[in-house]
Amino acid sequence: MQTTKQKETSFLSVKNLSVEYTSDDEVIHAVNHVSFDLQKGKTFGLVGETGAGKTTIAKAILRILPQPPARIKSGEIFFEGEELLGLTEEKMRKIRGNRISMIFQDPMTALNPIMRVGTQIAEAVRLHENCSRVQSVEKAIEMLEMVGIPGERQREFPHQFSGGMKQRVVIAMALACNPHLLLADEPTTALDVTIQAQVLDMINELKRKNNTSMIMITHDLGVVAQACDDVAVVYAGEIVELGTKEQIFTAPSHPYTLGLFGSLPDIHSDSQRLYPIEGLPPDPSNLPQGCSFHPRCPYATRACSDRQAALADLGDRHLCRCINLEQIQKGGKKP
Amino acid sequence: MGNQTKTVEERTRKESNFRQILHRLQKNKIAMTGLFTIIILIVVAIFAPILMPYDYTEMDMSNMYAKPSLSHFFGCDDLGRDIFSRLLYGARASLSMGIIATLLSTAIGVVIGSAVGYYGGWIDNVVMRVLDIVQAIPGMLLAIAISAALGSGFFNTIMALSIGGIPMTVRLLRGSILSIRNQEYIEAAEKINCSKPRVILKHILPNSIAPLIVSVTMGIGNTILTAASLSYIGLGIQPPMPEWGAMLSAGKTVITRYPHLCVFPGLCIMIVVLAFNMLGDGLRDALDPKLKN
Amino acid sequence: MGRYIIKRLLWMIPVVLGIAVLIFTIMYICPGDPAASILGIGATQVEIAAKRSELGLDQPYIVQLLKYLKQVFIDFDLGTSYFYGTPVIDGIFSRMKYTLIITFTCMGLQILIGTPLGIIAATHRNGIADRLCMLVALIGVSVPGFWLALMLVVLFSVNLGWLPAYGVGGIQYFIMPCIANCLAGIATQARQTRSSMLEVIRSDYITTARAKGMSERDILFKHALPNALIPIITIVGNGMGMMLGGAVVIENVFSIPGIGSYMTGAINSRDYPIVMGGVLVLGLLFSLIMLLVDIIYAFVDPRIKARYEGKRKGAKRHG
Repeated sequence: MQTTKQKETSFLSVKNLSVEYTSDDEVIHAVNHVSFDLQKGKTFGLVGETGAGKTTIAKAILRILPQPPARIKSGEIFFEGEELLGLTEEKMRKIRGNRISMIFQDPMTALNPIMRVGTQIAEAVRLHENCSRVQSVEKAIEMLEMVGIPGERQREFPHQFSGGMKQRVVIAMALACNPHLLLADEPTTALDVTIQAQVLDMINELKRKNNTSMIMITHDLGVVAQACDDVAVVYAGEIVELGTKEQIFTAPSHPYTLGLFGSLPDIHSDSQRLYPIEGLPPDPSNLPQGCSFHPRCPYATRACSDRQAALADLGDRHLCRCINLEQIQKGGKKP
Repeated sequence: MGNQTKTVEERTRKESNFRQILHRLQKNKIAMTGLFTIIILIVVAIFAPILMPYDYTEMDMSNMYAKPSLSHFFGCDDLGRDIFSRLLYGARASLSMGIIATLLSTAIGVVIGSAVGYYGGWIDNVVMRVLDIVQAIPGMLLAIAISAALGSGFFNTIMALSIGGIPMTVRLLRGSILSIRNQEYIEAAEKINCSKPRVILKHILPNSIAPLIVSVTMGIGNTILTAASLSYIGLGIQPPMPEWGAMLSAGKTVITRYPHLCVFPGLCIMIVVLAFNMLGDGLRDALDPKLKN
Repeated sequence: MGRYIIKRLLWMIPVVLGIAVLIFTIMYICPGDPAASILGIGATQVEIAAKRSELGLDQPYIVQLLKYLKQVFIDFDLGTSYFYGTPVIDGIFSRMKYTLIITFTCMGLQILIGTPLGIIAATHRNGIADRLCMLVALIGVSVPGFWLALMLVVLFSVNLGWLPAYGVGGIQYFIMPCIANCLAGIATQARQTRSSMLEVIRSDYITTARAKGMSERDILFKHALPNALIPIITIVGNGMGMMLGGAVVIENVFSIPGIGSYMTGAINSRDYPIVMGGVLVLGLLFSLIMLLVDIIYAFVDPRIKARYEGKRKGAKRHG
């Protein structure tokens, strides 16, 4: 049972979440013992490469993982006092779209192509609020205006909108019932760079106005810098580093985090080549022994392949999962 | 970050892709049953003259309409010929017509489809309009018309059967090409001066092979059905050559008294077509497993 | 919208002409001499030669083609039967109704039975209902329709005596023909519906609907089904083509005096005008149905409407 202390301090608390996928005979360990807390009104960033398990974490919170291949092996998710994984499907449906909403990565396919845009938003409203059809359409128009789309366009179909506009519609739909928590899965990745900034600003603005808490999934450190308060770096389904944005940006500690920052081209220097992280992300059905990152880690020692590191506190609740931290600090930044 | 690793992954997995597909296919019991049946049928067709207990033209009027027995497994027909032997020999007609006609129409379709898909322009327009017209006539009816015009016989029937399948293959290839053509790696290949036919062969065709294989397998099944139907209505292949559809037609007149003349040929047709369809389904699932899970 | 319909209607003209050209060309390359067939055995060479010139058979291909087109589309004359001497078109139209009864009944059965089967299979994916439906469907597409017809006759007419084996009359005369003809269609419909549903179910917008808090049942009927059924409209149209082709053979089995029997009878007597006339008429009928399918598509799928409206009003999409 949750203690009163937890009730007060956490708005969302994920504890020891593990998710696996079974396909044919393989078992894919998508998420491994992930734990983090989110404070009300803040934005929590999940950073990592494609396939690291970030989307799975979000979908697990909302419980929209396809249950035959996927299985939540362990964990608890506390949201505003309720443990989500134990709720009945019916109760969970009342939360989805209502208190927790999700925006997906690809706006081109996120909307039903043969249903009018306004109808789709109104549908979300009518699911959770007791109102008439007319009222729900009015609310839909209001939401569209809020994301910068003229209200009359509610009668149009998704193909009549560009990618950026479609994403705004998706955002309008997600925010229609004033959710307390918004899960944003790479909302700007599929958009043009110029539109990215617009959409990101808009999300931040709306979030500020309604005091919505947010989990922002991204692989782009620039987005993290712009939008997040706290950050977790995810690799192979595990959190390898966790802290505030300032901590991660000023004192990145885990070799993977160092690699991410090191691979960013520096606009001020005259570099001849890029410095990607060596190697490939691991096969999730066949994770390396010990630390998942050690095959690609320039600081790896023999001990790294023997055992899994636990998250160590570097001070001020800046956590890092690496056994060689001291040596790395002494040696300075990666060559 | 993500894009670079994906293409490296793609390259390293390409060799094991073929093995994975084969593995998936092997696990599919229905598909394997189909494949096994087809192999047996092909063997039977090839060795029919040796396997037949009687000659397929051997008439024995004393055994007219004989019921199935130990000496005549499936009985005899209206001229006292052994049905079992005629069925075995008939496998040759059905299988060869089905396979040859389908391969022929696929080959023609691939050539036309690749050219049209790649070069585009007015050739594309004209060819597609002509195909629209050919497809405006239902396949069976087109086969009837051509078969009636050319007359019955092995090669005439193959001609009749293959025309109908061409438009579908053309569209398949053309669709494949159009979807790949605009992707960047083709543009890259062209820029480094790959000649056009080379681009088609090396890059485009390998990607179109998967749906093509499925289409050919299902096509053989359908063609065998159409061939049998043609023979049934008096086109296709006629006696004394044994053909399963023609045997059904001959048996129809005495069906009330001697149903065994009809039961067995039809059963043979069904088994063959079923086998090809089972294999075709299995191939489709193996080549695109996402649909299964 | 109207623009799309008009464009599609205009396209019918070259298709219809094209079908006639195709049929004529097939007839033209047909070996055998129509003049000899008409005059019968025992006609002299002189008589045959005279008949050939009377029929215009010695003129070049193009001339004959144009004559044929005029004959078909302006005079509505599909030629005269070699055997009976009667106009082919009369023969066809007097028999049309039976073929249409069978074809449309089979279409109805295909839609009403095949579609729900496919939906059930897709929603109970890999479960017992799915495997069962798909096994039955697999067998259904493999069974030769005319053989099934014969087996049904053996069972229901000969052994049980419940249904008549041939002829026309009340409903009982059409039960077996329709069942035999539509089995393959039902099976195809079930398979394609299942496949379309499965594809739609894994779409992103279904996940979006789920994330909104919709129940699975609502998602199925309001989002999945409407999207899945759109490509099925084409399948239904093609099914019509299969039915028409199958009806030709089925009528033969049950001696139903439709266009099919007319044609199969003509095959035996080498009466080509009937065969070609029949294929032409059925081909035209099929084209009309595909036209209808395309128009229904335009009504049902907003993306198609837009392709034609957008071009006219200029770029309607805002950035």
